[in-house]
Amino acid sequence: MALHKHKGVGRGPSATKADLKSKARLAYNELQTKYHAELNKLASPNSLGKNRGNALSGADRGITLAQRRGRGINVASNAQATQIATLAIGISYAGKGMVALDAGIRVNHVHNTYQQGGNWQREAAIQATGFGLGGAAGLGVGKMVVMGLITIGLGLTPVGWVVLIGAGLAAGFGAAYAVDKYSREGAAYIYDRGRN
Amino acid sequence: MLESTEGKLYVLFFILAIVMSIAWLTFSRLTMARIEGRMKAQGLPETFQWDGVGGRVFFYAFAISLPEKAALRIDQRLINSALVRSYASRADRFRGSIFLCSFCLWIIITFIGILVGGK
Repeated sequence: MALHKHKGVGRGPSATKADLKSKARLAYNELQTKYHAELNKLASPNSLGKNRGNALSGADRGITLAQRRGRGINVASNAQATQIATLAIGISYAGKGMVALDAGIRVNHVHNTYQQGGNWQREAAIQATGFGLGGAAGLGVGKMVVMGLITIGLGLTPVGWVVLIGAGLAAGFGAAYAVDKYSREGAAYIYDRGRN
Repeated sequence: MLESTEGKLYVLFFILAIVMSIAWLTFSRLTMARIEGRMKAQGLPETFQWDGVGGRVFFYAFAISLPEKAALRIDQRLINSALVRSYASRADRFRGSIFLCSFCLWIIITFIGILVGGK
């Protein structure tokens, strides 16, 4: 980790770099003696000791990977790859959950209107319009913002990804809110005109 | 209904929403589903694991409909534009452009509507 952060040049920094390299080799040797069986499971046998595979294949491979100026999120092990896959599935469920929550709130709204003796059919038409169009707008604008920001290089660092996901969500919510509000007003306007 | 600016904007908004929805469905069923099916048949990995509700349709639309130079600038981690483009036909590009244009126009009309002032 320390070597990965270390990007200095010149005499002083390169001495530190050599020091860090030897520390990495020592640590790897220790790892190999203590956890030999586990290491063999994690790193594929044909990459052991060669300059390929992941950081656990060998000390020199680890050093090469650490010195590389990573583009995006650096995946150093199988465990981290699994974590990213879990995050992806989590985002997928969060997306579906948001839609279900929105639908639930709207159904509740229509039910309240019905219980209060209001025109629930009008309310249902209005809410259904807002649900479909607002959702569509939020989805589209969020994706477009992510695509735009990643093209200007915001996806290069893990912090950048956090900003990216945040900006995408914010823009998506903004657009969904605006379109939802406008389409509900429009639906009410057209519904009332159509009835008269 | 059409006598006021407000009413005209509402009607335009809904017409565009309908056009956009049809273009969205057409593009996602006839283009995206077909391309994904062909990629899956060739054993290529699924890259949109995170997508729960189908937002990836926008990535496909941009990757296919933009001019080649611009499409290839879309980040590889989002979508492999070169690969997706190799499966796309002229009809796919046309469907994608209609979808994106109607969507953008629809969003612009919404904001104009809000600025002009709803009821």
